[in-house]
Amino acid sequence: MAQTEKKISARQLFLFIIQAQIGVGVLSIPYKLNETARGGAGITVLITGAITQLIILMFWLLLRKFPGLNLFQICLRLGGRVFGKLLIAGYIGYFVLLGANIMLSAVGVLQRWMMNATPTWILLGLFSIMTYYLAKEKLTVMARFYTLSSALFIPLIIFVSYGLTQARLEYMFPLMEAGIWNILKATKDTTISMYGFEVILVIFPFIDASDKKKLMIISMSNLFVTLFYVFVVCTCLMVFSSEQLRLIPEPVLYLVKSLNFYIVDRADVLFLPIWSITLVCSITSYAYAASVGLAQLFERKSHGVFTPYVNAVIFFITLLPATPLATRRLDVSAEYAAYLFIFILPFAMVFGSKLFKKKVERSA
Amino acid sequence: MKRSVAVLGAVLSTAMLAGCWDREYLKDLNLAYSVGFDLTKDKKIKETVELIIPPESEQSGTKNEIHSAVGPTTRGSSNELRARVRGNMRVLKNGVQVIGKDLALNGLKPPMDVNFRDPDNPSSNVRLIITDGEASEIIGQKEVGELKIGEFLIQKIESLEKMSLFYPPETMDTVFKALKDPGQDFALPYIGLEGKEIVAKGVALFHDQYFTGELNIEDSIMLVLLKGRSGDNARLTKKIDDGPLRGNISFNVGKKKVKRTFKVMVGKNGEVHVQLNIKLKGLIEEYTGSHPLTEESLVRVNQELSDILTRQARDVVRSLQKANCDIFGVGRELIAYHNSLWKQKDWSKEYQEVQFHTDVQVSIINTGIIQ
Repeated sequence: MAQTEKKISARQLFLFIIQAQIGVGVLSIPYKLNETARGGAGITVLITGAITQLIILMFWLLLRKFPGLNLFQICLRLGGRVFGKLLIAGYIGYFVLLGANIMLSAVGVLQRWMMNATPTWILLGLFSIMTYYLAKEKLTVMARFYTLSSALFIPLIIFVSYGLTQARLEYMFPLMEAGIWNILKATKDTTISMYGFEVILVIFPFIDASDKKKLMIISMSNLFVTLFYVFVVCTCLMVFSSEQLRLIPEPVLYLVKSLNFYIVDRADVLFLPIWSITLVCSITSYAYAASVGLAQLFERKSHGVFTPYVNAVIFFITLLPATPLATRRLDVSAEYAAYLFIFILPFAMVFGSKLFKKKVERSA
Repeated sequence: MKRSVAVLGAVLSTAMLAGCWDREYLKDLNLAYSVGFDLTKDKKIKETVELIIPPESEQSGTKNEIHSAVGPTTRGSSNELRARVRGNMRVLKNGVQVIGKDLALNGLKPPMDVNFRDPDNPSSNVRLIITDGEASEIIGQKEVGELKIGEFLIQKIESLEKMSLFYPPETMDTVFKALKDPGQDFALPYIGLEGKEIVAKGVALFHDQYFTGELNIEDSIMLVLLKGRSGDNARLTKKIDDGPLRGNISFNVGKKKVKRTFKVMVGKNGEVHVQLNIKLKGLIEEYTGSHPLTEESLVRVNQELSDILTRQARDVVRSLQKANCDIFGVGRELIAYHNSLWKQKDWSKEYQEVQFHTDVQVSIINTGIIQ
């Protein structure tokens, strides 16, 4: 039984990745894509999903080479003591930055739509406390919570589907208005809402399944998330005309607000708290990954002791930007950090592991 | 140590988590149930609200108060109003917004902006109504019979929606959509004051954000049918002037689904043709002629009614084009399926040149319990 205590099951992995991936980004991707890809936004999301799949495949190739090791241990193995620790520190910084970015956008949305009078630091504090409680726990505990909160996807999907009653297919056409090049270029705007799958770099060794099955499950999660995004984006594009969408930075919420449930008038106020749970899961995944990294860096067994520091840092980073411009800057830096840390560096590591293959085999 | 941390945690959480900043007590609020906007002579916005005052004792009913104020913008006049009413005025429960004709002629976008921008303003179930006079006069009626003005207006609009005068219901959100859409216009309920009575006059047609024309009640019903929709009932009364069948006939076409074909076609030289046909199934509710409505005579009746309604439908389409009101979304179809053509067109001018081919077919399926 000790084995199952430590590892999470395949089903939990499926939901874990979904919860980590779906974040605050989806609320605004229809808006962003309307600017660039116009009617072809659904296609853009599909392409982004395919690119994500390729990256996942790359991760898998890397992780499979080092059975039982997570990202940080691989860093040490490949980079040696000094360089490896630098890499680990870099990854910790990246996870903290992305966690902070999600938290900041989440609180921004909550304040704009629901809690105008509540001070920002209170909301940030509450989010930090929630994530702290989860992230300090063992992976199995987190996985159980994620599984439980996945039930909340049902009302979310129902809310958005109800918007289809107002949909009009013509709003989405012409599909290729922006041209194929712009549709491809727009993938840049969607990638940020796909992030979250990189937690597999950290949790990969703690899954109770064969390597092949792990890949399949992760791909299924990615497929689910991609299709969910396509559904949301297409619904929004069919409900709002593109001139209207240009004015609405969070179309998903606007859509939910404009639904009329007879008794309930502001459905967005119901939607947001449910949504917040999903956001907490995303932030928790990053906080957990960063704490595991710290534990590796300082060669400790348990990551729990580092979680408070991670959460404190996230909290203070999110306190800093006060203007939309500063928020935007954090957004952009997160985006570029992601290119470096989930694309370039893992790629270099796969490449490096090929070169050092012999060395690795000898030491193993 | 552990115990003291737990105690501290408990104290802190009771202190911090119990409070909530975004709360509003119902007892502190003055809820506006209906709001009216007018344009004053010096181009300012005059806002008139109906506030609901909670009863002082449990037995007595609620009362309403009417207030108005003038300000440079919608929100500006709301702020003026807040200086006049007791306590804080909120529009959370607002169900109907009346707009004076002058304001509607001047464009809806600026005065409506606050409704879309502030999430506290309800939008999904707020009806917009245009009045031929001043909105303040309508709201100023205060009570109609037993009903307060806001309740009265909502009930009136909802019952007229069921009678297919205005259908599907236009709310703040659907208007927002149409306001922002270059290929789609909208129409709003049009009411007026006759003596002391508030009377529905038909619909007010809009182009872009401007009030550009109106339709009377019978034509409004025809417009709803041409959209392929109908409320619970759609009653029309027509006069048949044909030999033995001469007489007035009242029939209801709202009981069965309207079958509609709507096709936008583009000719060789870029001219736009629209084929708009509807098939109606009618139930006869009244017939003042003397000839019994046998199966053979029903054929004649169908023919006659189809002719009459086709003529009426063509008139309605002409009025729509005159008002430049693209209510069927022909422009939207062009954007979607003939995008390059759309880009060449100046739709505000060229909509009037669209050739509509309109046809209405009526078949009577029921004559009541007598022939």
